[in-house]
Amino acid sequence: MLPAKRSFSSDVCCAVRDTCRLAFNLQNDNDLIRIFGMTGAQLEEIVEKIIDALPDAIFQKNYPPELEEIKCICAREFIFFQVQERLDDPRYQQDLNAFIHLFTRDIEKRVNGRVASVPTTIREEK
Amino acid sequence: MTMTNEQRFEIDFLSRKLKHESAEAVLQTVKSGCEQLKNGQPFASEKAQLDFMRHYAMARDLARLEPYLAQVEIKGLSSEQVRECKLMVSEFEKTSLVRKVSPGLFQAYQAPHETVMQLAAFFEKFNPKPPVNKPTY
Repeated sequence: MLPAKRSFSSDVCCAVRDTCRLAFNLQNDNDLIRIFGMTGAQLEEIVEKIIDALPDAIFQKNYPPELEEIKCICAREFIFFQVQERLDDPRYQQDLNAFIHLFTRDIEKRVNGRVASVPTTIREEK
Repeated sequence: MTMTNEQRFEIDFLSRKLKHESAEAVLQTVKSGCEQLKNGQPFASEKAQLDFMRHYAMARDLARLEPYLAQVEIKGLSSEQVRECKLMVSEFEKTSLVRKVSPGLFQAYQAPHETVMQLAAFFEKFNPKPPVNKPTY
């Protein structure tokens, strides 16, 4: 995994925790079990898996504002996905892989749309 | 029009929770929760808040099925229900503080600080604080 991706993944986990503090009164990582059915270590592992699937090129270009936006989108979409799921569900891995596939596709479209100077609001309401 | 495997894959993913819960139950839970939030009322318990969030996330996924309505019938889900999900989610997200500041969430050209604040403002809606009772003297 690219060091930039690992660092980004850590930032996304922070954003998820910060959002959960606000939305779900998260006090510490023990509350993650209540919210997502997973520990802090599991959260970090799964977020790393999601980020690792994103194209390396996103992290090799110098687009800080864009990366900040993608970080927020990652945190938001992870929360909306994981709040519906449970780790011990037999279908979890299959659903996670499907989420990663579609999410990666949408982020690629978003980034490619920006590069082509075409405004895009993938996953946002117009 | 023939559906591609990718489209079928996305439909199956977005509608996956309909195996466990009806679209109508999702809609009712979200409607009821949104009314509560509009009135500034906090949820009765953390469990109730999480339950709302889970159903809101489901409605959000179902709303994303709208582009496929013309091409395929989705078991357990009517076009009307998809449109209702889209309307509820759209209305909810559009009334957030973020929308008053910028036309859309997470615009590419916002400063990093503002983008993080937008995320926080959006999710603050899920945890409304009760009004502070100020003492009168």
